[in-house]
Amino acid sequence: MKLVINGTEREFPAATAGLKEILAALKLNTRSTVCLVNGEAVPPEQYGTMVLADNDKLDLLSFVGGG
Amino acid sequence: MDGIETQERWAANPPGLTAILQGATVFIAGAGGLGSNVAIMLARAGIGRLIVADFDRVSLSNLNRQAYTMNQIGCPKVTALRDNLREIVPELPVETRPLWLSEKNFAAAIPADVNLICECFDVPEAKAALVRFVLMQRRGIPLVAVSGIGGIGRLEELRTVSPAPGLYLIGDGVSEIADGCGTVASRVMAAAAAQAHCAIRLLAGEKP
Repeated sequence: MKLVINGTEREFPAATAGLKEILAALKLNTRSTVCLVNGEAVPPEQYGTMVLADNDKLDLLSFVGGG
Repeated sequence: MDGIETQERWAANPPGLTAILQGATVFIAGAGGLGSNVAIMLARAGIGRLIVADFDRVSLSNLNRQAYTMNQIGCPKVTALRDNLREIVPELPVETRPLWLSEKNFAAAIPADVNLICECFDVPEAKAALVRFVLMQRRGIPLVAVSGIGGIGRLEELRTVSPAPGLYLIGDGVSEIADGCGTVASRVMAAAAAQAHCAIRLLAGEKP
């Protein structure tokens, strides 16, 4: 499955088609990452059920502390 | 304050900017190193109204980067900040919300009619939660957020990017305070200046 993540095309096995699995594969913290799927923000409660499709565009914004 | 004094106060502002900013309300989420400095810069620039939310009190370890003074230690940050803003622009309306902001109260605490929101939190999960909330429930209100201001990295590393419509993100994206790199006034205040400047440009109808 091909996904466009933060502007870069990446290939993932079909088994990792869920948003939660993609975040885990990329070692991203689910609570401190904002996920946009095709430009729409996804609430963390939906990460487990959100299934991605070929050519979906993901923007993964990972926040770090300090303010 | 009379008309002549008001005229003199904003005399050095870029032409046309004062009238635009005077009509604007900005919500500042967090009154720490970012929020306290952003508030002061927006006040100096001529913002019309500020709403500031923070649950915390001023402590000695805040003074290395936050816009507070020794005699304010122990005071709620929102109260101390309002007092400091009054010393600079006495007529500026400042609404204080002494709250721990979270997903549970964003909707009640953040009015839907503000012109811009500044994300000035410390904790990454809170930053992400506010960005999600604004993208989903305050669509159309520009949000200026910050990520990656720890350490003594070069100021040129603090970039402003727009990863989604209405969302502007300032920082190096990587330097975390929790990593042990600490924070220094010059870098935090540079990020706050970038945030305030981004807000001013957006309110003036310019691209950041």
